[in-house]
Amino acid sequence: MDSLSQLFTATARRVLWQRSTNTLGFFLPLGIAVFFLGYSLILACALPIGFAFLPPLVVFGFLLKSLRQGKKSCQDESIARLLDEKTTGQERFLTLATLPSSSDFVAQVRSQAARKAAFFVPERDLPFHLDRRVPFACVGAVLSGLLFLFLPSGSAALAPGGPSPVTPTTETLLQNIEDLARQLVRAQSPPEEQQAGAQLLGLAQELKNPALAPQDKMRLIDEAQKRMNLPLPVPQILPLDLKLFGSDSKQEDSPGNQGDSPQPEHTPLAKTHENLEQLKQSLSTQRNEAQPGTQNTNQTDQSDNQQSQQKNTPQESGGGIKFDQPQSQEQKGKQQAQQNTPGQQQQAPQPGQQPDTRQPPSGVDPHKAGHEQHRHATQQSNERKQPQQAPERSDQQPGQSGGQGRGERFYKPGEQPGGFLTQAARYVKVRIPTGMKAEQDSQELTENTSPAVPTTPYSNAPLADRPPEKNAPQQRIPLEYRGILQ
Amino acid sequence: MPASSSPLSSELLSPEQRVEHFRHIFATIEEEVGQLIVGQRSILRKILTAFFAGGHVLIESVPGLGKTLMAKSLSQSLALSAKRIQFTPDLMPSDIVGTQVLSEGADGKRYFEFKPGPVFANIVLADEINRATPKTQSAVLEAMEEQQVTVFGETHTLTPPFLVVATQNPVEIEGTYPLPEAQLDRFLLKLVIESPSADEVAEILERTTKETQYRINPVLSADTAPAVIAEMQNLVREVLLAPPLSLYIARLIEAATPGNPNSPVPEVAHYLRYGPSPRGAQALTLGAKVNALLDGRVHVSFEDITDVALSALRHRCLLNFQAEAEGISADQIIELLLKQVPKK
Repeated sequence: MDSLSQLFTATARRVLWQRSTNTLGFFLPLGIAVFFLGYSLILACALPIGFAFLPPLVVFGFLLKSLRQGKKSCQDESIARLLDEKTTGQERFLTLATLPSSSDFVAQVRSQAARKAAFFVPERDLPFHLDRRVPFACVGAVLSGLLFLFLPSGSAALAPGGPSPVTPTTETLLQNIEDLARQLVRAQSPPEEQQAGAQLLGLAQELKNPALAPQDKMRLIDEAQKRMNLPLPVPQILPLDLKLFGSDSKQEDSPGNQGDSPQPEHTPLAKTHENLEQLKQSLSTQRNEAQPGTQNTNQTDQSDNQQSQQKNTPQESGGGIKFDQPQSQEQKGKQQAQQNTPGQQQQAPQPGQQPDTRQPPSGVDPHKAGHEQHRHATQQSNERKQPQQAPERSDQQPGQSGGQGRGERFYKPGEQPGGFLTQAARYVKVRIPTGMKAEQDSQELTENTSPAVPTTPYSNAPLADRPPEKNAPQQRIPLEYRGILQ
Repeated sequence: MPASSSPLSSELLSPEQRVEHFRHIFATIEEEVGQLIVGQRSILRKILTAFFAGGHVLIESVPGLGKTLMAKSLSQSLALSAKRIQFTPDLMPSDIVGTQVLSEGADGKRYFEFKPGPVFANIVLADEINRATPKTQSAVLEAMEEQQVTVFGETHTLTPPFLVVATQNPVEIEGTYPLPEAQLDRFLLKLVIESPSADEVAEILERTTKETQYRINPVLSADTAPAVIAEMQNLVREVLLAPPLSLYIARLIEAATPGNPNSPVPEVAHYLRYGPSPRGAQALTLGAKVNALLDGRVHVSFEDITDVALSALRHRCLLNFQAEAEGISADQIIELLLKQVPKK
């Protein structure tokens, strides 16, 4: 291998190294930046975590393509051009790289090029220049990393347990409970609410005592909840449910019934219950932190928390509607205490099980359930009514809260009214029928549509070639003039 | 005394020696003619370039700038024959190529004899070529391209080397017949002589209005001149042209074609009526090769192509009315081409 070939090889190796370094220096920070940005976006939009790796994969593809192009650009012709540029070779190296070396003229060009190349050292004459894009890419990566760290979702995602909801502090919960209790003891409230409010105020004062252990506080809360017989969490209606019950709510939004039933989750008692539950969770956490070795004793609390979290998990049953029910022992006890309350629903139907005949009618408006629950909270243990069959829909007056309620049309044939429970439901899952075959094969019926039948008769019979003219001549035209006139 | 009378033998001399010989003769001619012609060294170099590339030159200038003197000096320095033809509207083709005349032999018999015209010379100065009719102009076409003329069905070969230096006056339009595109394309280079500066005019006065006149010393001897010149012309064609450079020339020609939608110069489509033909690419290549030899190289560089591009392409880029109305010249278009056509 002569000196010129060695020079070509050394120059190509150095150029390839420089280009690869610059390419990696640009694409790696870019990939990191894209990953952080994409991950933040995915956390914000609650997308599957697998999507976070998609943008970096795209960047990786570009990196491979760029590296391959860099390798292609280090062929002999490009290196020859570079050498000509650096040594003012006047295309001597280019001529050598592209012409076959057979003639005397090529030999002369080679000798001239060798003289030029004698003063060229690739390491010295081809200094490494950092690509201008590289610092920008590094800065972008750092900025995106900082942005990811300072975003709440990002910092939560970096935590060992993954993202966690923001929980209020114990003091805030106590303050909320106190405020709610003051609302309950107002003069306008019913007597039972005033009584509950007074009990809550007392409970709040006791809980503020720092000498009390978390276990004692939790016991006090349990006792207070049993004393007050607080209602279970009210169902949270999702947009899907609103759509489902849209037709019914239109009927019930009659002028006489508007404003009659406030939203259940806005009632003070419901809020009180939520705050008490949150306070219990907070106290349980404090107890766990204070006594790390007493995990066995906390298992029941943890299971309670898990069960309470399961309220948010929808359960699906084939073809029908099913509400998730709270599974905690306390709530189960409350449900049993509320079983005989008229106009309320307490228990979810088990698959294959007939609903309890003592249950109240199932047509209770879920929005009004909490309201009626806390209104009749003190009467739940005393009053018992015979279960009612789900009345026909045509019998129900618009705006009525009792009797036949929303979602009744989702009953299976022969299903009892008590099987449709909305008590303490968080989610409603509905499986909409996928489409019914219409009588005509070309049309498909959906849930609320009817086949459009064309009423206008039509015909595709062809028109006459020549419409009759109004001023058609009555007299026959002579043959010689017919062509002219037509 | 001739500076060099031995031919450049490719068997005896190395390429480097041949190139040096070429450069020596070229420089000597330039030096000799330059002693008589004040300034215009670049014009003289381009004329010699076209001569050694085997082409012809069209010079555009106003009268009185030494075109005829330059042609005569060149012929004297090369020890070649030179003729001058003043083109006029009544000039006939036979006045250029020659004709058959009735002659009487020694035995008293009469016969037709071919009387060669002024085109039968090594260097022909076609002065104000655009004043002749197209018929007469076309009589020069065959001589320029084929280096032969046909009179009364009889073909007569011109003696090499053969160089036509045509001139035209850009000022006077009336009574002229602009050269057709086909004839323009046969000139390897088109040169534009600018008016001399004041210093150059003073120098011209100094040299031409005194009693002593300068005489041109021939660089080559009359016996060996054709062979030496032919060898030099062969050497030009042996110069190496790398494929990327020939591709660059092709891209230049392609970009100068008005109908090319991928031209990197949009002005081409706006201002050009016709672009250069492949003969323009040949002119670029040959001119670049001579430039490479003059630089002591046996391979062409991009610089050589750029240096000859204007004179090789300006008469092949025909402007349209829009360009003439806006005062756009072909040189401007070519400069744009040189800037914007990529070399890679």
